[in-house]
Amino acid sequence: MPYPWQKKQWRQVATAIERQRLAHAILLAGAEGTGIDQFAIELAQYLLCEAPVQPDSGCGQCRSCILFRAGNHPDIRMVNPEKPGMQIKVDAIRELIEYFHLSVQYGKHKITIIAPAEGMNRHSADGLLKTLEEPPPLSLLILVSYQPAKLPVTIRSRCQKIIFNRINRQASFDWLNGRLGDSGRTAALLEFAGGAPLKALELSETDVLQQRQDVMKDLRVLRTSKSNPVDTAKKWQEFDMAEVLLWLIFIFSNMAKIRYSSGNESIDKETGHLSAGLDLPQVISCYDLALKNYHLLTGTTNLNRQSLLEEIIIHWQCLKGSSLPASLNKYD
Amino acid sequence: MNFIITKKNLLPALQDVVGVVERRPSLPILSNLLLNLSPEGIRLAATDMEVELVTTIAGEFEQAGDITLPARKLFDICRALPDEADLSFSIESGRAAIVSGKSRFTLATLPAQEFPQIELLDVDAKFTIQQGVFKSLLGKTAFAMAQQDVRYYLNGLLLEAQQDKLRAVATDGHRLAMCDVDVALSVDEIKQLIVPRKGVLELTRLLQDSETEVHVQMSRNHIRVDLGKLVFTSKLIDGKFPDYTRVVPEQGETPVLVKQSALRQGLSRASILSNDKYRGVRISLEKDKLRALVHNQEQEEAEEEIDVEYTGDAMEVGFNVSYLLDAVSIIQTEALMITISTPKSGCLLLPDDGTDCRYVVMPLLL
Repeated sequence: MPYPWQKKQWRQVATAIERQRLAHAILLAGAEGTGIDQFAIELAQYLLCEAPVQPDSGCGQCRSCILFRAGNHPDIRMVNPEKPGMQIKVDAIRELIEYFHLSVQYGKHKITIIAPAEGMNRHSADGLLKTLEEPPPLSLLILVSYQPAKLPVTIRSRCQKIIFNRINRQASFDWLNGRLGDSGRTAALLEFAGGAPLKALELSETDVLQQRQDVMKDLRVLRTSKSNPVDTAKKWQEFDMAEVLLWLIFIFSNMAKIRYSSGNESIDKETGHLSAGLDLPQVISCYDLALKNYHLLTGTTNLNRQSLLEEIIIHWQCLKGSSLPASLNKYD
Repeated sequence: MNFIITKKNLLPALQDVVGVVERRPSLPILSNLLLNLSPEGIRLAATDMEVELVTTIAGEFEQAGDITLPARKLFDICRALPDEADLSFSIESGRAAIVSGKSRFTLATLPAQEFPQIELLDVDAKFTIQQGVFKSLLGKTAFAMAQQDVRYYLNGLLLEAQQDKLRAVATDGHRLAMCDVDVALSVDEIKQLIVPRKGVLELTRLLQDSETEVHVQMSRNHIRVDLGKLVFTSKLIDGKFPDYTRVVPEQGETPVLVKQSALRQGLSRASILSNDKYRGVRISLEKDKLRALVHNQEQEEAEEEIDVEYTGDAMEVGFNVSYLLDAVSIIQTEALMITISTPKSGCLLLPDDGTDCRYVVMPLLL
C-alpha cells in the first residue's frame, strides 16, 4: 500500500493500468526518504499479484505475492549499486538486459526497478538506452530517481515521469507522530530530515540529532578559536559524510533566511548566533560551497572526502565577520 | 514430514538435476532443490530461473508435503555415503535431519512456496522426436549461435515448427547454420521460438544418442522437453529472429565438389599462418582446383592446393578461415558441395548425403 502522501501518484498509475496505457518505462522522481523506492516495490507487487486488492495493494496470499515477499519472484529484478552511494556498473546493466530479453515466467509482467537511477554511470545509462527504446513485450522498467536532473536527458525523455512533489508538512507530521508518539521529537526530526518522513523515521533510531549538535558546536568553535580544520574534518568524517554536508547546507540556508529577514521564528536561535556578524553574500558563499561539495561527494567520481570537508571548514573559518558577538568570545 | 530414499535412487536423480544449480546463485532459494512428495513419488526440481530440471523418483513416506533443501550439500552428502545406504529425512521446524546408518546431518531448509517453479501456459505446438535425431539437430547448428551479442535474439537457437518438419537455425551475423528434420507435427501456422544459449547447451548435454522418443512442448514463454525420467524446461528469448531465408543462397549450377577430409585438413594447415584477429583466407577457384592462400602480419604465407570438381568461372573470395573450418568440420559426410555465386555473396556449404543441412559463411573483404 502506498504511503498516505502518495495517493495522487498512485491514482495516476492505477488509472493508466486500468486503461492498459501504462508506459513501458516510468521515472519516479522525488526526494530521498519519502518512500518513492517503496512506491516502486508496491507497484511491482500490485502488477504481479494474481488477485490484486483494489485499489492499491497485492493480496499477499497468492503464489506471486508469496514469492515476491520472499524476494524470489522470477519476474522482477532489482538493480542497485553494490554499496549505497556507489555507481551502478555497466555489467549490472548488461546482465539486466539479458534477463529482460528472456521470456516472462508467470505471464503477467517482467519488472525491473533501478534505484537510484542516477547511480548509473555514463556507460550504464548508454547501455540501457537501446532497451529503453525498444523494450521487449510485457516489460516494465521503473527508474527511481532522487535527483532526476542528474539523469542523462536521453534517459529522461524515454520515460513517463511521475513526480512526487514536496510532502505536505501536516501529512508527514501526522504519519511520523503516529509512529513516534512524541510531537517535539517528531518536529525536530522532520525539520532535520528536510521534511522527508521515512528519513526522519530512520534518523529516530540513530544519534544523529546529537551528531548534528556536535557539528553546530564545531562550527561555532571554528569561528571563535584557532581549532585545527584537519582535526574537525576528520571528526566529521566519522559521521555519515553525505549527512554532514546536508546538515551544513541546511544550516547555511537557515542562516541565509535569517540574513534576509530577521525575526524568523521557525529557526532556532543558535543558528542566529552562529551567523552573527556575517553578511548575506558570505553566508551564500558557504551555502554554495557546501552544495557543490555535496554534489561532488554523491556524484560518480570518488573524491578525497577529507579534502571536501576541509575546503568548507577553512572557508568558514576564514570568513571575516564584521564583529563577533561578545557572547561567543568566551570560547576563545 | 518424514521420508526415506535409497542412495541408489537418489544419487542418479541428483546427478541429473544438480548441474543446473549455480555455484553462486543470485538468490538463496536457487541453491536449493524442491522436493514434492505425492502419490506419484518424490519429485525433485532445480532451477537457475532460466532452465528448470525436474525428475521423479521412488521413496517411502506416509504423508504428502513439500520442502526445499540445499542441493549441492545434499548431493555431496549422498555421494559420500556407502552405496547400499538409505537416507531417512525428517523435517521439523525449518531444519531437515538426515540419518543414514550411523551418520547424522542437519540441513537448513526454505519453504517450498518460495521456490519459483515454472508452469507451462498455452502450449502451441507439441511433438515427439527421437532423442538422437534431436541431439544431432542441435549439435549441427548450435555452434553458429552468437555469444553475448547486443542483438540479443542471436544469442540462442531458433526452433521452427512447420507442418511435419522441425527446423533449427543459428547465426551470429557472420555465418549461419540451418538444419531440418522430419517429425510428425501439425501446426496451423509456423511457430518460431528462440531457445537461449544456456538452454541449448544444457539440453544437448541431457539428450542421449538413442532411439527413444522425447516429448517436446512449445508455449509462448517456455519450451519443455520430457526425456522420460527427466523433464527439461527453459525460458525463451523474447524477440524476433531475423529473416534468415534471405541470406541462404540457392545452390548454384556449378558447385564445387570436394572431399571433406581434404578440405578440412588443408584449411586447418593453412590457418596456422592466418592473422590472429581477422583469420582471413583467400580462396581462389579455377577448373578442378581450389587454392587457399593465407598470410599474416609478418608476411609469412601458406598456400594449399586442393583437388576438387569444378567447372564454373575462376574467382577469388576472402573468408574467415575459422568460420569455414567450423562448418566443414560439422559436416560429417565424405564429400561436400560449395556454392560461391559471386565474391560478394555468402558461400553455401552442403553435405552431399541429402540431409537437409545448410551452412552459410559470409565473405570477408581482403
